[in-house]
Amino acid sequence: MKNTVKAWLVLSLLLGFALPGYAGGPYGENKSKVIIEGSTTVLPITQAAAEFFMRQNPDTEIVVRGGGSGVGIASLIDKTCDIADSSRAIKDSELDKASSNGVDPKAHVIAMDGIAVIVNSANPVAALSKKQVKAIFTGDISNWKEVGGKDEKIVVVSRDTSSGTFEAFAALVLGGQKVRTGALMQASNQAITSIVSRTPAAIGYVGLGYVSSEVKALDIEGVKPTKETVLTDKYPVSRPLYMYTNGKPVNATSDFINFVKSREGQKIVDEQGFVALK
Amino acid sequence: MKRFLTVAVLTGFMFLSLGTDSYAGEIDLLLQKLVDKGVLTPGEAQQVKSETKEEIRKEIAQAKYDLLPEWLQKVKMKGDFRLRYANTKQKGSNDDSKGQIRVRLGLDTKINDQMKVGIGMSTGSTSNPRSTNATIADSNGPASFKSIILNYAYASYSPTTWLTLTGGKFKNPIWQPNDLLWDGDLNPEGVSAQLDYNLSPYLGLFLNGEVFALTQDSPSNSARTMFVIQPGVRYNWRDKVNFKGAVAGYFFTGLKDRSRFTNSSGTNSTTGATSISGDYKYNYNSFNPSVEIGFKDPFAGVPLLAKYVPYAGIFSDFIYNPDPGTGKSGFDAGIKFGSEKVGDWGQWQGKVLFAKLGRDAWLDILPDSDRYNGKTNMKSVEAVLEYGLGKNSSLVLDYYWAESLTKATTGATAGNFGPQQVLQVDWNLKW
Repeated sequence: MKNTVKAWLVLSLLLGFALPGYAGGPYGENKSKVIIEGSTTVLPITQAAAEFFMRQNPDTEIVVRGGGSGVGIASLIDKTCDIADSSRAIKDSELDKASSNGVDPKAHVIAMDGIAVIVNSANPVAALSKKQVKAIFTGDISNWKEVGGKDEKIVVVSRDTSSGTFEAFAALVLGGQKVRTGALMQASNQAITSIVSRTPAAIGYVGLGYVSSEVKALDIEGVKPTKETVLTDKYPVSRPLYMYTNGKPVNATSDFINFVKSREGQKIVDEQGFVALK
Repeated sequence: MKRFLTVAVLTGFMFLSLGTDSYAGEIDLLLQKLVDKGVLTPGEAQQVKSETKEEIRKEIAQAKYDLLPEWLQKVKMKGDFRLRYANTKQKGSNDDSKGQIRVRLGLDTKINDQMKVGIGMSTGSTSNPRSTNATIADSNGPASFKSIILNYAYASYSPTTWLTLTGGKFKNPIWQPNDLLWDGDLNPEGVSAQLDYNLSPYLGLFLNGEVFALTQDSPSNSARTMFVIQPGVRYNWRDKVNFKGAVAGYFFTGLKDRSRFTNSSGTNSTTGATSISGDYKYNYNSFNPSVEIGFKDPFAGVPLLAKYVPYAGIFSDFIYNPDPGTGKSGFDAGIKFGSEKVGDWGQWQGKVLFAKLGRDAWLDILPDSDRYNGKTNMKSVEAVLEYGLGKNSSLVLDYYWAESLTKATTGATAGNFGPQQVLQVDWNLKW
C-alpha cells in the first residue's frame, strides 16, 4: 500500500509538468513568436535580419537557433520550429517524412551563396577548372606550374571547418574530400583576403561579397564570379539558400520572410557577404 | 504585373514538368526572356526557378505518398538484422563457439499529432530480457524454429514539444554513455516522463523521471518498484566540442530481505548459504553520474590522423550504493575514435573501455549480458571496432576480457568464475 502511494505521488509529480500552467514552452500560443532553426550558413543572415526586424516590430520575438540544415528541416517536420533555414534543398527522404507527418514544406529562396576562389594579384593564373581547384585544395596539385603558373609551391588558405563558407565550398567543390593537411585554416573571410593579398603563392576562397581589389578572383570553368553569373546559375560555385515553412507562412512568420525578401532584407544579405536577390 | 507573370510562369512550369524534365530548360529560356525584357530581375528569376523546382519535387513526393493506403501513411516501420559469431573462452570450461541471429521489427503509429503507439517484435526468449539473440542449431535440434517475442509495446503522449509521457514496455529512456549498468536489449516496463528543453542553440537541459515495475502485487508480497530521476545537461561549444552529463538517482522498493529475481546473474549478496539462495542482503538505492565529451576534428593539422580520425570522445559512468560494506561502487571509463557514427561505407569507429562493478554496487539483473555474463563483482576490458560496409550496414568486432573481483568459490559470496574472454563478430543490417 505504502509503495502504491509512493508510486502515485511520483507519477502525479511527473504528470504535473504537463498541466496547462507549465505548457508555455518554446512552442506556446503566442502568435508573435517565430522560432527559426537550421543552417549555420544562413544563420548570420537570419540573426542580423531578426535583430533588425525585432527593432521595427517590438511585439514580435524571433528565436534563432543553428544546428545545421538537417536539424532545421527535422524540426520543421516535427513542427517544433516555424522556419527551417537550409543551405541545401530538402531531400526526398525528408519530403517523405514531411508527408507522413502532415507537413507541407514550402521553399523560400532568400539569397544565393557564391564563393570566389582568390589568388594574389601578381599570380599569372587567371582561370581554373572546378577539378583543378579541388585538386589544389585536397593536395593532389601542389605547385602552380601544374596549372600554368610559376614554379612555386601553392599555399592553400581555407576557412576553418566550422564555418558555413567552408561547408559550402566542401559541398560544391571538394565533393566530400578533406582540405589538404598544412592548409592555413582561417576564422574569417577578411583573414583569408589579407593572407592571399600578402602571399604571392597563396590561394583561398571567400564569399563573393568579400572579394576586394587587393586580390584576384579566378574564373571557374571560364565564368567570372559576379553577382549576375551567380544569380543566373552560370558560375559553378554557387547555390541557393532557403527558408522552409510549413505551408504558406502566416502572421509574424510571413512578415519576417517578406522582410528578408524585401529590399531592406536583401541589403542585410549583401552585408553578410552573400548574393542578394534584389 | 510581375506577380501575374510569376504565377503564369509557375503554372506553366508545373504543367510542363508533369511531362518531362526537358521542359525545364525551356522554362529557363522563358525566365531569361523575362529578365532580358526587364520584367524580372535575375534575382527574381532565380527565386522563381528555385522555388518552383522545390514545389514540383514536393508535389511529386506528396502524390507518391497519397497513393499509399491510409493506414500505411500513419505507420513507420524500422528494423534490423544481425548475424553473429561468438566465441567464449572461460577458465575451467570448454570453448563455446556459436552462431546467432537477431531480428527486430518495430512499428510506430501516430494516433494524432500528440499521441503515438509503438510495438516491436524480435527474436529472443521471454525469460531473458537482456538478449534478443536466437542461437543457430540450438538445443531444440537441427533447423529448429526460433521464437518471436513482444519486445516493446507503448503509448506516448507529447502535450508540448519539450515533454513526452510514455507508458508500457519501451526502450530505456535513461541516458547512459555505455552499457555497464543497463543492457541495451533491456526494455523496462512502467511509466516515464521525459523533459527536454533547449535554453539556447548550444545549451539544453533534460530530465528523465521513471517508475519501473519490477514485480506486481501478489497475495503474499507487495509490488517491487524502481524509481528513477535523472537530470542532465548538454552543451555544444562552437560545433567542435559536445558535452553531455547527467546524474541518476535510483530508488527501489521491496528488495532487501526479499527473494532474488529469477533472472539474477547470481552475484549480488544474499542471506542464504550459497550465492544462489536466500534473500537480497542489501538495498540498491544508488547514485549514478555519467558524462560523455565528444571532439570534432581533434587532430586538425596532423597528417593522416586528421583525415582518418574526424572524431574522438571520452565517456565515463560511476555508480555508488551506500548500503553494503564492500563492493559498493563501480565505474567505467573509455574512449571512442574514428567517425562519430558509422552509417556508410568506409566509416569506422574504435572504442576501448575499462569497467569495474562491485558485487553490490548495482542490481545484477540489469548490466550488459555480454560482459562477464551480465554479472556484477567483475572487472573488464572491452575493445570494439566497427566498420561501415555500406549504407546502414556494418561489421563489428567486439572483444571482452573479464574476471571476478573476489575469489571466493563457495558460500554466499561465491563469484570466482575465472577469467573470461569473449569475441563477437557481427554483421549488422538496418532498415
